[in-house]
Amino acid sequence: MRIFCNLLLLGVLLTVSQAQAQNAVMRGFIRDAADGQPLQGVNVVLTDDGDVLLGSAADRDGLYAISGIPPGRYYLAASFIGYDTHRDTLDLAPDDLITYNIELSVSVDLLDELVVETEREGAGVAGLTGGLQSITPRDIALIPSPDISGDLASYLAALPGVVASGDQGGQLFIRGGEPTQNQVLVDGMTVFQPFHLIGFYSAFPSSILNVTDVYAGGFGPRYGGRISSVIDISTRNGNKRRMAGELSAAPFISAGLLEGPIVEGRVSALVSGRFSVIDQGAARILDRPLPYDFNDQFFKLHADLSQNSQASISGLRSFDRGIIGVLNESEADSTKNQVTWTSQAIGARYVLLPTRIPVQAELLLSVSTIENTFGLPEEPSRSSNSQEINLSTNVTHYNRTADISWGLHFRFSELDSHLGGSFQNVAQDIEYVSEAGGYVLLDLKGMEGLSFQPGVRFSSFPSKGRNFIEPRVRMTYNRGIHQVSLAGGIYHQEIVGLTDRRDAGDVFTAWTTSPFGEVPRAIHGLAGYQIRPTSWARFVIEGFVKTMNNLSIAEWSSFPRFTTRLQPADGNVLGLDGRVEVTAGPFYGFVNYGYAKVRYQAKQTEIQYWFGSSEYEFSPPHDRRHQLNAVGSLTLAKFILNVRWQYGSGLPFSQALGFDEFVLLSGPTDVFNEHGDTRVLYTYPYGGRLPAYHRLDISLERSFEISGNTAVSVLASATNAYDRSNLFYIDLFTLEKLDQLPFIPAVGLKFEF
Amino acid sequence: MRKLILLPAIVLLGVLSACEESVSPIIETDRDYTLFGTLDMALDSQFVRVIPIRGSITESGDVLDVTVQSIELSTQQTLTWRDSIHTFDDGRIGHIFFAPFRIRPSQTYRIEIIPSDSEIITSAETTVPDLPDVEVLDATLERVLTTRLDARQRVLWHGIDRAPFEIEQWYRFLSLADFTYKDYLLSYAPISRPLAGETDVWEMDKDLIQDRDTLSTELELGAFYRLAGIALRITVLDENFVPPGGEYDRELLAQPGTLSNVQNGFGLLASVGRFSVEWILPDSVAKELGYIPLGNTAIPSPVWAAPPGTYEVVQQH
Repeated sequence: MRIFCNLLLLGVLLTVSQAQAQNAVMRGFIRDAADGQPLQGVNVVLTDDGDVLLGSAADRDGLYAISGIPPGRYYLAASFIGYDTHRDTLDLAPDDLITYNIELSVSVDLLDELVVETEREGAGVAGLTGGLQSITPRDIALIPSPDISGDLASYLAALPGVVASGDQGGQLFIRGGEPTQNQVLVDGMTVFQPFHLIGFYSAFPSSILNVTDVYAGGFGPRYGGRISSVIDISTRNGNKRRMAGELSAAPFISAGLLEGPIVEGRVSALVSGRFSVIDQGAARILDRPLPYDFNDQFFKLHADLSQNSQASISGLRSFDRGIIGVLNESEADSTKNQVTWTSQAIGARYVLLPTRIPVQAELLLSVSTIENTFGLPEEPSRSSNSQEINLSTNVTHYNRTADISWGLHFRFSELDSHLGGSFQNVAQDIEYVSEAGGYVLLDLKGMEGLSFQPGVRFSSFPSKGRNFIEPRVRMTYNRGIHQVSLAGGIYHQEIVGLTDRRDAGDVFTAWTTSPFGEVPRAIHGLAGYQIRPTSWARFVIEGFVKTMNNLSIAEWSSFPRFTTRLQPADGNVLGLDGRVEVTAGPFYGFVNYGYAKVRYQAKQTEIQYWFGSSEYEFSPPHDRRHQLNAVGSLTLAKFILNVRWQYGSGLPFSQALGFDEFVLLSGPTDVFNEHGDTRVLYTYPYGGRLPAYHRLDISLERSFEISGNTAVSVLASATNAYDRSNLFYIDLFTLEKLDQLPFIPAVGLKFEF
Repeated sequence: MRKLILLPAIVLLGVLSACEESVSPIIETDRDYTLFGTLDMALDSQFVRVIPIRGSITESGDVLDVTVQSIELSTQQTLTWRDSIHTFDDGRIGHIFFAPFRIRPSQTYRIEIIPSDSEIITSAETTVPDLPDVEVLDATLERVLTTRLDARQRVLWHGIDRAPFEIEQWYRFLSLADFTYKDYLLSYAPISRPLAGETDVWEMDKDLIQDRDTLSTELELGAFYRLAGIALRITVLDENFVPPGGEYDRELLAQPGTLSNVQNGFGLLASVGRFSVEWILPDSVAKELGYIPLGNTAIPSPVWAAPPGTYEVVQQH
């Protein structure tokens, strides 16, 4: 608590010192005049008699801030590609603190071929900066998918270093981290397990997205509680000028979205819903059972409360039910392997620019839940329910040479698991975990082109008697066409998700505290170099290393599934991303390559009896060494052709010598009475590799404008165009193989108004 | 021109779709059989189970085309075992091989599974525990506070370096009513521990008072019963039984190779030694404990308690 008091004191001192400064501060929100959406990346520049003096770029809220402005007359220009530049003349007096909001209109000259390019950090596939990749709906639209409305999951799976478990399973491994080590935030709310069972989909259709920042590692102190990566999603606000919406239908999913003003120009609402239609669509096209059912809903209320404050309430629900793996002949037997999860989150966010002090303040309150079950719907053999209540605040002080951000958070989690014999090391049925913490982050801008962001995060878990201090740093240096970036830090994860990765068909996840008492910890280090040799090409290369300690993985067992126990392990990830991005007239494309080597060291006591040494090093089932993605998009005569080819080297899996029966001989044994238990004679865990995975996806889209705001879009797509039988899963017990999805021809239709 | 472009594309797609590597979850091995079983000194015939390692989870009841034989290494005496297909209570089918012979202490036996179509022999060896030497020390009787009698008798087993798998104790009485022996197995074992300062001596401490009280309650000992003898018998496992880590953890030991002595295969072959010692309490001690000793009673033969043929009688007193 003393730490928090000190932090608050620091904040007050900073505020006072800022308030006592002689220079002026100017900030405000920048919005699209057409619908009131915040515009991220708008450059706001103040010039004095033609010389560029000061500038700032708007963030995801459209918020910009320029501090340390000497008194005088200034010419303001707010410019953004595709929009008319906003100009004004301002007279600033000493100690002025001005809130100056700006609305930009789409440039009439560019209306037909609006291309919004931003210079924000991490934008564009080759804009990777210190592990940060920033994604907009326009990026997502480049990836062919069987759905006419894009989805964030499709784009994430096209990034190097991101390994998907396949077309089925809904598991994303980012630079060697497990899915449960990824933090997913939507408008500041934690969302558990947001990726649907079919790999094309998540709970995030592109129609609700504004900007998504994916930190594959090296994330700053504002984030915590996960040790691998952060997916920070900012959703769109509803249209504040008029009612709008869209309806779409495709073989996997049907969707609807409605948005509009509640108080024109000030308060808007957005409601979105999607429902899988696999039974009526894809399963018929493929003539194969696809036992998946999923849906997601989202709503957002957004209000511009005043010139210098805004508030929003967001809610999200995501549901999945299905059977991963080979189906049994009997439906009842298959249903025993059914996994179901429901993820929900609701939260409120308040952003304030105080009129008297030059800071931005944000207050977040959210509740997130996840319900997981495995087995028969009426009598699941395992279940895990978790709830997280989060209250946090973020404050940024603007200064000419350094922005200072700090924050506090209070988190309360309830973890309730009934594991029916699985994960036997996990003893508790229900557990409560409370956490309090904060962070301080400096953004030093002393040297031209240099952004140096050291920071520290601290967390305290009173109920566990544990405290963590996590130093973090991010740095970028721009000079001409070159950019160098570095990032790194220490990360801890008190609440972990346990999954039995021995079996690709088992995606049930139990959320609990660390079963071995030692909290998982990771250290990240990243270094990247980016170059833009021409205006139409960009290249980036980034190396990364992650070391992870105190992980919990399934213990190896020779008995059939679901009898696993846990064992401790450490992990190491070493990798490299290379990306080339090209924009040439109507063509846009990128090629990226990812190399990653993921190794785990299992440290179970019994390992010495099995393998003759106290540790056993192996490649976990998500160790995909090589990945290649090539994406191209061509716009011609109002047709948009998107092509994507992806390649992934084979994933590890465990092979066996065969089957026998195991009879435990602990004394004189009557072999007539001991039938024994069927046993799999595994070789070394994950000693084999599945075949390489590759696939070609193509889509062709055309929009027909009916009237001003009304349009119909038609999409024809071919997923897995050359029908490769990519192997997803082998059932060791039946030797049946399950392939990824085959060639899927699809037609999608979207009506927008 | 269009055909010139399309043709390579079609060929490329054809090649890509055809280049599908095959993968099998089952890899070839020259370890073809699993062998489980214990050779037991208590049995006139020995039994082991032979499980063919199969490529699928389903099992078949086909006759195994193998020869199973045992060899007593010191004498090279070789016996060929017979196959029997047994259906277990859960419906599984298993091959149980058997041979009619008794194993002897300290002898090493090798069991071989010789397939007809391969030169790779699956085999395992086990050495039957050695015959121990036994010392039955004199009973000690001591009055405690003049009213309570404390009576104990220690038995030392030389050559036993770990806890026996099982310790049994019983008493034999001669019933004068029908002139037959009545044997009574006690439901508990005596206190047992390694002898202090020794690595291969196991000490058992019989509480004669506890025994008497138990027998009195259960048998209603009366004037017609004469105490004819006391016996201890132990079941000793050979070293192959000793699990890594010291615990019989099913999950751990099921891991192939963890608790296995089978060459070119999996499983475990072990042997069980069974030894007993029998003695008669001196008449004075028996009387002090409340029994009626045999004294000069004419007795049918034999007097010793161990049922013949099941345990090796180490020593009689």
